[in-house]
Amino acid sequence: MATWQIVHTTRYAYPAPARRALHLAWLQPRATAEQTLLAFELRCEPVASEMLWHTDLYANPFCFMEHLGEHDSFAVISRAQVCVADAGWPPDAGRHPWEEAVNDGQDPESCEFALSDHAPELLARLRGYALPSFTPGRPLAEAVLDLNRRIHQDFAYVSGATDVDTPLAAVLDTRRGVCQDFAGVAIGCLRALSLPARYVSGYVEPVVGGQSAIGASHAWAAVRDAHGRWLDFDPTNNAVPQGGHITLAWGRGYADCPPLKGILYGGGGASAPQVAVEVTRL
Amino acid sequence: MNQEHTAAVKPADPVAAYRQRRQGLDEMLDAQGRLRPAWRRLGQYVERLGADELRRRQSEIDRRLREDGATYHVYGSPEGPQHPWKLDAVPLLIDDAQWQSVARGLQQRARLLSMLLADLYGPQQALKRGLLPPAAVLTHPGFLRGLVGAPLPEPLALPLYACDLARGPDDRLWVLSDRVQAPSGIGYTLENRQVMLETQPRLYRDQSVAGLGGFRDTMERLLSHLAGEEGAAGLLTPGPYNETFFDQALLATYLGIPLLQGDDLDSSGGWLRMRFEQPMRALLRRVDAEWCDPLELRPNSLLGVPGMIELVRRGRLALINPLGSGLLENFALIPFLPGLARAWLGEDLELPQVATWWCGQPQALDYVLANFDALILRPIARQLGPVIFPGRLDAAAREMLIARIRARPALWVAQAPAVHSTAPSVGDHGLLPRRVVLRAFAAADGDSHAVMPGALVRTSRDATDTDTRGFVGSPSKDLWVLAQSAESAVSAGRHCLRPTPIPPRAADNLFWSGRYLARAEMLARALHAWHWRVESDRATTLGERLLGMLGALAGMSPPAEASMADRLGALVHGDGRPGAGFAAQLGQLEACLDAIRDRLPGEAVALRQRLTATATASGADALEEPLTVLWALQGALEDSLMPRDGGAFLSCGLRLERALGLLALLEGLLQGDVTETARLGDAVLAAVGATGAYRRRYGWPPEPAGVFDLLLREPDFARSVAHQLEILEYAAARLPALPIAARVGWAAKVRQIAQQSLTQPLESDADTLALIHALRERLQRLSDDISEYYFPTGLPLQALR
Repeated sequence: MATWQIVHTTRYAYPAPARRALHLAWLQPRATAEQTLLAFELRCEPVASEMLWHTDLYANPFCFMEHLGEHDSFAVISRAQVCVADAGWPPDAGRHPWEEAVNDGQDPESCEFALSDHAPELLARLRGYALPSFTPGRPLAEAVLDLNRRIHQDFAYVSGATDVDTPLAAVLDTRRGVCQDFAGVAIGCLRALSLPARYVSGYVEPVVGGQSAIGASHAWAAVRDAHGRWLDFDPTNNAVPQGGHITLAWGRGYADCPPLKGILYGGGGASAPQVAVEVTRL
Repeated sequence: MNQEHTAAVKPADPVAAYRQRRQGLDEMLDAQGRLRPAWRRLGQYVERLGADELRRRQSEIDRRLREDGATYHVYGSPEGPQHPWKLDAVPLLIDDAQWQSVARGLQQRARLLSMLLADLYGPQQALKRGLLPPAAVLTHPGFLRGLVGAPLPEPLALPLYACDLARGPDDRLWVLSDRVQAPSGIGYTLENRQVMLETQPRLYRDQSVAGLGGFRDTMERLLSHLAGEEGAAGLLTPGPYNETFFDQALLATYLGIPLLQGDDLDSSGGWLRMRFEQPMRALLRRVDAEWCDPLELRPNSLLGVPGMIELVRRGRLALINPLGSGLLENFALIPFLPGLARAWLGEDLELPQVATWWCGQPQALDYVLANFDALILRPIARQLGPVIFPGRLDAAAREMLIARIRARPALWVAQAPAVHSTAPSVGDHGLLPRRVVLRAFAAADGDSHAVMPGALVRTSRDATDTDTRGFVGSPSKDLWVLAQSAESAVSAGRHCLRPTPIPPRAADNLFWSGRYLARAEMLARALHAWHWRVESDRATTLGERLLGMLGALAGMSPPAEASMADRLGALVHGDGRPGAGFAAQLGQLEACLDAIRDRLPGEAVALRQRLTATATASGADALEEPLTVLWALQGALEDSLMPRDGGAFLSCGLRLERALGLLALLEGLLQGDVTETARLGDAVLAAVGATGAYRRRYGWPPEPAGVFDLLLREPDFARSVAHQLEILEYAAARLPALPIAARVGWAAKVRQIAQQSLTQPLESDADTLALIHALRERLQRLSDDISEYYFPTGLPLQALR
């Protein structure tokens, strides 16, 4: 059992004043079987005219914020204390042949996460990459851990190599990316085999010398076994989360649960935000 | 085609000739070639009229539709995007008993789809209990996950329902497809009915036809039910370039609700509002869902309102139809609807539907591949691609299609090809058989849907065409439901419209209609008055100076090296920059008028159509016709648009522009050689149409002081600056009143300007010039203030991630 404090700050400076702004934020760590939220606060500068919390279809909490009136900078600061169990995967999880977890078209959750939007050509490439790990009859857990290891080995973590619009095909070509891309490759591979996979947005314990996305938010993947249990794995770090991963939200992909997105009236052109994430063990 | 032409030997009786031409199932004639009972009276009527009279009626209808500016836009069409809307002189008839059974079937289907919508965006029992395969729903691009759990209209989640129907070989009407995302056609149907009433009054009266007024009342009740007691309702349009803008404008007018574009609205403070107005709580939506909210859907969309989904989530806005309802247009649902109807309603579907196989089911896919060439293939969503006829593909294309289907079978359905019935349409030589498809409409009314007793009928290009896409651009028809007795027929009476607030964009377009109208009129008049002066004074500087003043009015300087005639021509035809030259000013005027189609008086609509016809033909020496139309248009607009209906914006723009144009001419008068001033004064008076007024008052030849006195300060002369300012003050005082302080402000501002122009002493040319500059600057500032206060902000939207 580990208790974490997270301070996640996103700051924008606009070249020209914005007259109004609307934002959606998936920044509150969700409740899970392994994770309990002890304290949480979301603050904006300037103060929002309105902040409203909702729950999306995957039961992630998200916040709608509106800013009225002129402002030329904007910051969102979230503080959370989260308790995470360090159990890892249940010992019997994913012992069955991986083929048994393949989407049979009957279960809505399985369909939701197994169906892919990718073009057939890209799916074929992903299947080709995944198959060496998914030999016939191999237990799901073993196959997924092998895929996790191979992605970690074959792809280079290069900060700034990609952005949220970089297509997966380009990541496959260059074999470079950030955590979202590592998760994207893993999810793409699983869905290419009709296995249900989801994208998990969150934070990770800082490890000295590791590729743990210090100072930024993190992302990894999860696969659903034949009994409907979700098994998280982190190809960026070749790890299975064991108390050091704090989950914010999950969805089919990044677009379902971005930490922050918004629309400005005015603002004078796009500017990249400054993002700072501090993860501290309490 | 050949057959049709050979049969064109002047038939005395159009029905007899039609009997020879029709092939197969027909609406008017039964298998033995006898008139069906519902058609007997119409058949006799047509026999009496004869082919020539039928054709004359058809031209009358064509003319009426042209006057109304009825259009259907087709992108990428070789004849340009604007196609005239066409209506066939022969209606489609159906007897009341048959229509009632169709209406029951439509009600049932609308109820089932309402339940399905509420389920798929709610508990998803249909997926969990295996009534629908999840992949058939979850792969469809119309499933908007952000709307899951959001409130839907009650008691029926789907307030508006449209359905395409065609008659099958069993003589029943079959469902071809459901139209629920943002169904179009109600406006066209109303226009068709109105035109039929006006051009075929006798035929209509003889038949006891069910009227459409009741359906209008239903829609109005629906809007006020969803808007609540305090809320307002509007129609959200993608704008005047949308293919069915005419339909949208007409429906908004008919329902008495404002026609709105995304930037007319904002979601500030948790309510959807048009600037300064009460919250808008119900929106008839004609923008496809994915474009409606750049915050949560397509971030680059400019057609929607950021934050719209949030308002829906909070129960503060109802959309007709709801965001996400496009999911019900999913062709993969069709094979599962009979099972859903039995499970949820305990009934069988009353209307037969086109046989459909969803390729996501292995057995269905096997069947489809085994019968490939005999079927029609289509993606489950319209936005994923068009209908494909495998039988018409070559071997390579066929293999490629099969590979695409095998790669993503859940995205494909196959349908049995449908054979539709034909109905008589007016051709050059009598009646011709054309295949018909009906679009029927139903609107939620209490706890069931009320079906419109009429429909929009589309016809095929020729007797054999079965591809409904080809129906675009061929004539439509009005469907007449024939009541048993006269009592059951409700008249399609005209309704009185509530005054609706002026949306920012409409205000903008009204104001600029006024400005472009005045600008084009002053330029045309000056060109008309001066072209011979310029040509005869080519050796003098006067010609150059007149050209300079024309350039000021035209917003361009004509090329210096060209001949006088070419330079004048350039002022008419422009130099390619927007707004430069007479033709471009007319173009801008037309665009402004088209965007406020729903607010224009009928005669203004007809004049706007004439404008296009005259503008193309005119040169500098042939401006009389466009000038006449511009004058008539000004009269039609200023006289019949009440200030609160937008007339105030139009008058402000018109008077402001005219004052600016007069100031430009007067400035030109000051800037010359003294020896030419008399001739220049003569020219300016001619350009304003003030020669007679001047001569009677001041004698001849004109003196500068007199010209300034008359054109600048004489309030009784209708073409003076002073008179423009009087009307401007009147109109400005009637600009929308909220907040009240600003309303007082507008008129006071104009009064100050007017006082300055009347009282400032003009001792020298320099004084006069200074006054002209001061007036121009103050008028331009007034224009900017009005724009900033009333028009869309024009602030660029920016998506942040």
